[in-house]
Amino acid sequence: MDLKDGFIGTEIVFLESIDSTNTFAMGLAGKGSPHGTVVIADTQTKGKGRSGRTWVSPPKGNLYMSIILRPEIEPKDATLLVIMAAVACAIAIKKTSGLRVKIKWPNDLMVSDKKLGGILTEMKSDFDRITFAVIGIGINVNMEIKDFPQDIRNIATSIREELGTLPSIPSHQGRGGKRGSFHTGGKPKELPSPLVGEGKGEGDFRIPSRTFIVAEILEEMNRWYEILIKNGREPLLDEWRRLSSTPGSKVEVTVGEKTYAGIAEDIDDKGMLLLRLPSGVVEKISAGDLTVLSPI
Amino acid sequence: MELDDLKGLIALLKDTDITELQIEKDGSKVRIKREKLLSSIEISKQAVIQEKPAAETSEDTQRLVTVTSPIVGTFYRASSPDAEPFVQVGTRIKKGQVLCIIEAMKLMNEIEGEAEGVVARILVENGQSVEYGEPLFLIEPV
Repeated sequence: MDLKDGFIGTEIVFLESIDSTNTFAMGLAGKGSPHGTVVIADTQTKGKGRSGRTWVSPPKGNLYMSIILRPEIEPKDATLLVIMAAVACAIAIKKTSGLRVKIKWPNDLMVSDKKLGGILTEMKSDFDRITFAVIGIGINVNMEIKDFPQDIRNIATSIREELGTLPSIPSHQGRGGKRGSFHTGGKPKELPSPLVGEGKGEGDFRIPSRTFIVAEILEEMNRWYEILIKNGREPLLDEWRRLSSTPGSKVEVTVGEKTYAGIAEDIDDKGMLLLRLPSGVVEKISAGDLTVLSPI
Repeated sequence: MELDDLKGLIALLKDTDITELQIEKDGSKVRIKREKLLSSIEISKQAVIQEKPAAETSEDTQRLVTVTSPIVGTFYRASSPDAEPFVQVGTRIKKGQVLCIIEAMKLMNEIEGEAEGVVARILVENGQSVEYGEPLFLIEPV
């Protein structure tokens, strides 16, 4: 494996409104955009979720970004990119907001058992080679419960909602890490104005700006990508295990029309879920919707 | 050695397991080397024969190229449940055209055709789990 030239985030395309940052990034990648190109939109009109579902993407306040990668890994190991994205986002949200983010297999970003963010990766490959991969990230930052569609209000949340439930703390302590200049392989960049300077209200800086979150995600993404390429998969898988609430939990997984219930034992060397069924048999799950029945 | 002799020799070897032959005669030297064919064509032939023994003659399948799954996951013929399939039997495809999606861990992998051709057979059902290396399509090259 080689480390490709250029960092993730060297090129950032900012769009006010787009159908889907992933669709746009897939188009850019198809026309040859380099490894590490990032697409960010203020709003998406057809934000993508798994199997044709939509990702609710109102303007002014949430984060919708897609990252183009041209990784020198084999297609059969591409699921490690999913693990990497989950780890990078979980750490970045934790650092910028102080929230205890947990990963639900494979890459849902959860806070107090509600979904704060999701990741959908699209890729083109033949048998031997990844042509390119696009990691799509959606994080609910400023959205309020009333902004969510009725049917997901019980299962979705945002950084604003979660911080609002915490006791009030002085603004300078709530920010978590350092402030938002970020290095993208060269000079620090600042995102266009719509992403800067958000807060819950005047003098309240507890909710991190989207620029700040993007900066941390890109920093973590670069860090973990380098670890994956240089040191192999184990450190990454271990970090995922540390950040995930899935292993050890009693879960239910729906795969197409079948539903399996059992204990989520671990993940394998590609990140696939190892589910112990009541019969004692361990089933390897590659794709499906996972519900945690009882946490560890 | 005459050209006809050579042709005869090659024809003779064709039906054997011999992969290399060297003959030295009257100061001239001929070496014939055949690569053992472990191409996708042979593999596809086996896969088809295992599945439907009497369905096709080897002559039909010999020309077909197999597209195999690069990852473990779930096979989808369309981009979403209510979208049209990417290809049908008989669809003429270009190199790099998307044939299907294999999903693993919320990673939607669009599988691209590696050569120009016509979709001859689709070997898996929509929504079915596939293993690494499992044959997905037979493509008739053009």
